[in-house]
Amino acid sequence: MESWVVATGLVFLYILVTIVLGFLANRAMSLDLEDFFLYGRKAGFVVLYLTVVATYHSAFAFLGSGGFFYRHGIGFWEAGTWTVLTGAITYTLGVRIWALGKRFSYITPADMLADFYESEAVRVVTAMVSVLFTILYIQVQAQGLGYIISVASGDRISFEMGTLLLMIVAGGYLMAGGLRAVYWTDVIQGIWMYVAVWAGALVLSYRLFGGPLALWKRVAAERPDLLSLPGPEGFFTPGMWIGMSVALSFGIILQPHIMIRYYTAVSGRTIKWLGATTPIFLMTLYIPAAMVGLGGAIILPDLAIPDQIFPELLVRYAPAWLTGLILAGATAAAMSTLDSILHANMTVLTRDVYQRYIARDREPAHYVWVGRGIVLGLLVIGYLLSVRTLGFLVTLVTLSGAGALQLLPGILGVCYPTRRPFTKAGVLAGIGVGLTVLYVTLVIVPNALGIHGAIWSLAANFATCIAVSAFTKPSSRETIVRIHGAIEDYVYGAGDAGLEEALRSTPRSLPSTPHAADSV
Amino acid sequence: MLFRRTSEVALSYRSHYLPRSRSGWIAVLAFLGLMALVQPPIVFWVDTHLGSGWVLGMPFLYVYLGAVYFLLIGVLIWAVLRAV
Repeated sequence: MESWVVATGLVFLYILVTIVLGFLANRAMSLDLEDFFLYGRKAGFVVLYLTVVATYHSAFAFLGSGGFFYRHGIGFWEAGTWTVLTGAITYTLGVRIWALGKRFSYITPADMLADFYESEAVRVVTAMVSVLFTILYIQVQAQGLGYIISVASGDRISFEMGTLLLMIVAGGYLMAGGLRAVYWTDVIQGIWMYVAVWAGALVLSYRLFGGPLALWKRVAAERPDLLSLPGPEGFFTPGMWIGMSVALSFGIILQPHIMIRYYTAVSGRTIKWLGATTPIFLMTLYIPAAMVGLGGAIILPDLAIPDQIFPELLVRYAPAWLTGLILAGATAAAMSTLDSILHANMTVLTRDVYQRYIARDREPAHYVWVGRGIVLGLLVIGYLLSVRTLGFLVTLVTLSGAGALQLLPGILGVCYPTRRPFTKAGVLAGIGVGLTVLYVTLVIVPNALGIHGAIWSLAANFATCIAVSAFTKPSSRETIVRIHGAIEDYVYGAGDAGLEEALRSTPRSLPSTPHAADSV
Repeated sequence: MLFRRTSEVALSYRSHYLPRSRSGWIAVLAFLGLMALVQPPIVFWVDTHLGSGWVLGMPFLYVYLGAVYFLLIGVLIWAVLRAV
């Protein structure tokens, strides 16, 4: 049997598994908003763990990280810092977001911010930032999928056809089973991608070098510049090191497809265990990536596109079954992020735009069907973007990584009670200034003074938010006491048990009318 | 009970950024101290002065960073077990 048939067959076997899981999720689903959008807030540790890690690691971690090691050397092992920080943020901030979501029935990040800051403007801006800076990842993941299938088939399936096929599959099971389908497929995808990347790296290192330790010796002998900081091209300066640690921990966690996952946990303790243990998966995935990238720099030193190092090594030096297994793993990495971003954008647009401003008080089933229609629209947009590269999109993708980071002051203001709370004017001004500074320090003067644009923008955002908040009117005392009181009681009171008791004694509800302060 | 209290009385506003227990202080200080070891300037000092060494057949910097990452994860797990 020809090798491309084996490789493509394994990718299609994986796709078949996801379709079956989507079908099963559809049969288990009820036409209920919390079930469709939030898995009924019943996600246990194992399911939540695998969906978070599979979502966090996209096609970039699978293909791009090897390319980073290939080009910039051992400095990319810095990745461990942002994966561990991600765990710590989940532990401390994630559990607060979960508690407030459970207590006040929040579904989207904008629900929480709009409620605390008593502002529809905050809701709209949060929703816009959430969608704008993640919708372009649809394009990135779709392009990764098209590339993977064309490599597996030896270009017998075109990039465009591969992209279309895999987007239809991901969108299809999402529309069929909602977040339940995403979670169930993410379980398979998370395990598959982890096994695949480790298996591929180990097989390649033994075939090409005689083992990982021999690989390190060859790298030290032939490319010692790859084993020191700041790397061959001087990329990993202190400013970039700190900036990437912040942008790729806080910046990813604040994106809606990760934040919404916090709302879905069955308990706060689940979130804490999630924070403590997800870095194990996230960080150790970069160990085989280092083997692939650094070993690849020895074997194929003149690769034009470093991101292609893993598939290039596989196609040339690995057996067909392994290539298929690993490309299916890469497909899993891209699809698990794609479906989650589609779901998050669907939830934000349905909840924060359609339900809020276009059609209020309809049956839950109505919103579920609208959500499905939005997914269809996002698929069309994502596909068109993926087969056509436009100049302004390249700029927006550059901004995407640190875009959601601009929500940080506003979210900290909700989740960490202080005597002088941030105000809606402060938060909105901070986001505006932060995004402007981000554009300047990533596009016009990239990473000025060797410091990542994320740091510049976040500093400007915080300074503006604090300054404007000092001179503007905060939310009503009733709202601040209600929300900060809930945080105080949850974190330093009776925890999960106290929250359950509170939910039994008082109804869960969001303010149902637009905030009066905005209409003045 | 606890939630009803907050709607009736004013919040105390003790800082949420500072730990309120001994275990909390240990966890925060251990995490921040270990994180400092893998951030500039320390990580660059380690690379400059110890980067040419090898441990267990692997470059010192690679093993050093990996070891600190696992210690950081250990702190987080310890915090969950101590209900911090």
